[in-house]
Amino acid sequence: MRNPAIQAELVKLARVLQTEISELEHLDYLEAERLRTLREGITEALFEKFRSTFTGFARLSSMLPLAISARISERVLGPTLSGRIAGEMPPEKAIDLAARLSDSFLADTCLHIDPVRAKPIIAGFPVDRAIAITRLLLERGEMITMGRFVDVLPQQTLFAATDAIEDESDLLKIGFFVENSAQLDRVIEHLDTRRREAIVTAAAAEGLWPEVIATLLRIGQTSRLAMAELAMAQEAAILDSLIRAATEDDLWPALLQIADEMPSSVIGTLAHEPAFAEAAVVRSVIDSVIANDLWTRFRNQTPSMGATRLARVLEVAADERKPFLWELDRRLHEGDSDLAALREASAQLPPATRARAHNACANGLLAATLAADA
Amino acid sequence: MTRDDDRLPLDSRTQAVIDGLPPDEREHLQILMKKAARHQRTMLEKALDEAVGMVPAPLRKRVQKLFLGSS
Repeated sequence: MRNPAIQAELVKLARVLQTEISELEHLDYLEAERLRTLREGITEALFEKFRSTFTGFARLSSMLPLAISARISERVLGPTLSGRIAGEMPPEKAIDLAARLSDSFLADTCLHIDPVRAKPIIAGFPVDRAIAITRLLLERGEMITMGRFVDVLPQQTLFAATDAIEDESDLLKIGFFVENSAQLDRVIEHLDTRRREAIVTAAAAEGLWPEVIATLLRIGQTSRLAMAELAMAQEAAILDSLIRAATEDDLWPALLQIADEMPSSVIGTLAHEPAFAEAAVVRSVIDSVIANDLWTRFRNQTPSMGATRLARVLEVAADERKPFLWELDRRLHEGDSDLAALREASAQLPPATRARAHNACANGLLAATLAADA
Repeated sequence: MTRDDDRLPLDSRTQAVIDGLPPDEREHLQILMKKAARHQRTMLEKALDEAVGMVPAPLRKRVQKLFLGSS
C-alpha cells in the first residue's frame, strides 16, 4: 500500500536537510509519526545551533531602514535563511519588511518558514497578499507547504485562500498535508455542497481515495459523516472507483470504521455495486477482516449487504478463504444480529458450494445453518 | 562565528529515533545532518560578510557587535 503520509514526511525531511528525497528513501519503512519526530527535532536543532546568528539578523533588520533590510533579505540571505530568521523577528517588523519583498521571493521563503514559529506574523499578514502567495505556491505545486500553513492561518485568510483555490483536487491534496484537524473542519464547513461533491468526484477521477479516507479519519465526526454521506450518494462509477481503491490499497479498515459511525450503511451501499461481487474484491474484504481483526465491525455491516452479496462472500470464502468461515462460525451465537442474514444468504448457495462452506466451518451455528439448508 | 564541529544538538526523542535505526542508516542520516549544518553555517557566514558590507558605514560597528558570540 502506498503511504502518502510517509512520502510527505520524507519530502519535508529532505527539505530540512537540503538534500534530495532519494537520499532518504531507505527510511520509508518508518511510521509517519517517527519521521515527523525526526523532522521536527532536526529542524529545531538546525535552528538552535545557529540561534544567536539568526537572532542577530533579526535584530539587524530592526536597526536598518526597511529598504536596506529588504535588499539584504532578497540579495544576501535568500529564501532559506530569510525563512528561518522570520520567526525571530517582531511580527510587525516582519510584516512591514514583507511589504517590500516580491510575491515570488515570499513564496520561496514560505518553503523554509516554520509556520508554528511564525504564527504571530501569519496572523497579522494582509489577506490579499496571502492570496497572491497562495496562488504562486499552487502554481508551483507546493501542496505540502500550503498544508503546513493551513495549520495556523487565521479564519479570514483560510476561507479566502480556500475560495482562491478553484480546483477541488488541489484542495484535496493540500488537505491531506494539514495536521490541524480543527482547521480542516472549518474548511469543510465553509465549502458548499457543490464543492464538497466536486472533492468526491476529484478523488474518483484522480485516484485520490487513500488521501480522502486518511483525511476523513482525522477530521471531526460531524464533517466526516457529512462527507461520507455525500460520497455514498454519488453515481455508480464513483462508488465503483472507491471499491477498487479499497481493494488495491486496503481501505477496508478505514471504511468499516466510518461505516460503524454512520446511520446508513456504507458497506451496504458499496455491496450493491457490481464490483463488490468480484472475487478479488471479496477476497480483499475477507483478508482485511482477518488481518486487522475487524470481525465486529464487519459483522455489524453484514445485515445491510443483502443476501445475494453475503452469499457471494460465503462462496468465495468456501473456495479460497476457508479459515474465514471457521472463525465466523466460531464467533456466531444465538441472537446475534447477523445470524438471520447469514441464514438467508446460506439458502441462496448452490448445494455443492454450501457443502464446501459447511466443511470449512467448526461445529457452530453457521455450520448448522449450512447443514440445515443442504 | 567560530568553526566548531557540525554535530546538531538533538533532543532526546529525536535521538531515540536515530538510535533505533540500523547502523548503516544511522550513519547515513548523521552524515546528512552534518552536511546540512555545515551548509547552513557556510550560508550564514557568507550572508553575514555580505550584509555587513551593505550596512551604512556608521552602523557597521554596531552591526558587528550584534553577531559577537555567534556560532
